[in-house]
Amino acid sequence: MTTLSLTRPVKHVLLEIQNLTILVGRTFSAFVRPPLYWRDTWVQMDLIGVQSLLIVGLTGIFTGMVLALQSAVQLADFGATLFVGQLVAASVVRELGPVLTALMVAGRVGSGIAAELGSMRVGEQIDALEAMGTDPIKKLVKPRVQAGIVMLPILTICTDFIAIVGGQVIAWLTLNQGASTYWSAVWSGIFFSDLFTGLAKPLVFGFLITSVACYLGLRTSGGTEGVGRSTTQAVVVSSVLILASDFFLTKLFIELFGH
Amino acid sequence: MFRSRRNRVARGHPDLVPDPGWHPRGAMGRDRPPDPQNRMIDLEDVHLAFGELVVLDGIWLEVDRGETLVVMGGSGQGKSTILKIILGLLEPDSGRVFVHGVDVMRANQEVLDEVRRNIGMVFQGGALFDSLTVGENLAFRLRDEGNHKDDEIERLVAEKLSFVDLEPEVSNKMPAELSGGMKKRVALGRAIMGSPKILLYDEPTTGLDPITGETINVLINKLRDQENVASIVVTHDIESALTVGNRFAMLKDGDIIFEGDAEEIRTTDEPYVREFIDARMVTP
Repeated sequence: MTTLSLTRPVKHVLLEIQNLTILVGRTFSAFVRPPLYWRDTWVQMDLIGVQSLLIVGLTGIFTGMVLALQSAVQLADFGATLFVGQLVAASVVRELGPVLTALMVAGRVGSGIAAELGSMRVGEQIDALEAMGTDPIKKLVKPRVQAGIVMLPILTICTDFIAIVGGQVIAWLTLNQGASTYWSAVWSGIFFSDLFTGLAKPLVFGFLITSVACYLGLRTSGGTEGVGRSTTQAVVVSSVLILASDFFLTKLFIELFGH
Repeated sequence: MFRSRRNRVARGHPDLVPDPGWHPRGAMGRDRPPDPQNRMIDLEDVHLAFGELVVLDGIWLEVDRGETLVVMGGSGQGKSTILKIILGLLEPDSGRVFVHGVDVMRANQEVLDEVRRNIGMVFQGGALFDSLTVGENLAFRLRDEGNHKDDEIERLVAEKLSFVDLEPEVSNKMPAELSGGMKKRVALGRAIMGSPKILLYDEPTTGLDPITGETINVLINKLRDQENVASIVVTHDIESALTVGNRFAMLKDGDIIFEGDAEEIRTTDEPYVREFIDARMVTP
């Protein structure tokens, strides 16, 4: 009895993973098989990228300011406040920039995609698409995943830059540190491996957020209640996946670059 | 048209024995010789169950060019499911589905998409794309095919709007700005874009006032008479059914319990059909 009650949820999870994998496979195949719907991809790049700039900008500036404040206090004990810029840059570029940007985008974009596709599913619009001979994977999923993969690294660069500028403001206000001192510390704290890591992670996160949101949106059932459920699940699942994959990616990059 | 239990006997089903009422020319004694040129839809012994729930229990169905078949039945009897199976949106557990000679269940995605381009479907709620204007909804199929110039698409959109009795200004409205009847008419206009050979209607008049419902009925008949399309209308609106249909089928418990023409359905003694018709005729 216990074994039976355990196998059912395990089977359910495996089935979900299998279905998600099939969707991902079909999406990647849609990357190269026409019609490619570039116009839809362009629209999604605007929705996912440009329209997320404000929220990631706010995330960046406050993250940078908090980091600078905390590190200024800690480093002051060792007389090492000159390294504030280095600490802010390294933390933001390697970890906080990619992860926080992805979490914000998961909240804003992932929920939006799941709600939109979920509403289309329960309103039979997905069926209508298929009935007209249009593949919903090519028309709806591929543009969103493509836009997510392209725009997350760009948004992360924006977050990183704004966070470092936020750190500079605090360094100037609290430590009276000049821009040249701060920025030279910033450059000394960033290596090629950091830039590579900082851009490779959001690429993966962008893929995870959009593909999970599309999957949950497309398999919505149960009317408006189902749409709400899919929306919540999209944010929760993609947030957990972002944090979990961040750990494994960090481990991988440490193995690759040695630090 | 339909071959339910009796016709399965005709096809040599080993478990079934002919009953005295069986007629060699088909159920109800009608003469329905095979007509491959005009046969548009052919469902053979289709079974579908969702878990324990048996939705379709061996459905046989044929629809020819220029024919409107009305499928009636109570809620949850599997009427809309038949339409989704014809479109290839649902795969039955067993049986075969042919649309214009193509085996839908064995077709690859490209062939299936091609089959679907010859089918127009009017969904129950319209299923208009709510992020697109009415004009964009109508133009969607043609733009997606990519074989038409913009001015040609605009001309066709205006033509279809006029066909469904809508003003050209409606083209710029969003679906949310339309009434229920207008949505149904736009959905019909979208379905006939690209001049499909088959039209499927899911509850086309449900939820509409009698005048708007009658407008939809007139359009369905106009399409059958002018374009010679094969149509299936799924409905429980008996008034509408008798207006648009030239053949009728009643679905109950996954099987077709009645099939016949307008005269036969009006005079049938089959208790469920009788009850269904009388109740619907009396209930406003």
